[in-house]
Amino acid sequence: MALQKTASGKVDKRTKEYKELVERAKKAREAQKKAAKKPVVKKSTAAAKRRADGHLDQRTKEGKAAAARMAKARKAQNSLVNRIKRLFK
Amino acid sequence: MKTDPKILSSFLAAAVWADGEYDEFEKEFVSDLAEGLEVPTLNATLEAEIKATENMDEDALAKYLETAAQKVAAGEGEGILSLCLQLMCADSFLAQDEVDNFFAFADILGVDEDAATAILDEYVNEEEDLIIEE
Repeated sequence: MALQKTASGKVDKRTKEYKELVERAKKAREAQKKAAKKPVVKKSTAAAKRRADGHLDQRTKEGKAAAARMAKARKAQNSLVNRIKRLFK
Repeated sequence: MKTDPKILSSFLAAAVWADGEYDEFEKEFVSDLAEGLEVPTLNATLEAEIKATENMDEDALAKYLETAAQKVAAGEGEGILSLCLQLMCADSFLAQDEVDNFFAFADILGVDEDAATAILDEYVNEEEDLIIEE
């Protein structure tokens, strides 16, 4: 797994991977606009697809643990409710 | 929130379809969301929308969302976009298809690309446990 880590050992979301992800999405959007195409909403019925091609399995122990930590933090910090208040004030 | 929960659910259902699975963490997020929005029927509404969009192809789904977007209350597009992002990331994983859909949702909701990028950057920055697809 080639995820970059911060000094604290946390996955660094400001890494090349994140920036590349956004850049690819923007390039795809530009191409759609140039072709005067309507927005494309991708739909998958095969959740295992990205795991089969070598991408990180988010349902591995690490992924599940990360998702559980996010859910716990969301509740502990009341972050979702705070975001809702900010988004829909 | 002034937008009808069914309309919000249309977008949340499309967010679920980005990876094709409504998993336990997404369900937990929706449960928290229902509580936060004080819409106890949200999960049932979302499950109905998931079912309603199950057999749609990508074009039909985009058209479905364009129709739904017309009923989004003024000024709530960015909020709905942000909730879709949070749902897509509830499994701790941000994939390319989800980012693509995030920007497609932004387009459909009439959210400017720079504003959408700011929402994505802020969320990714705040969620230290989020795993980015390589």
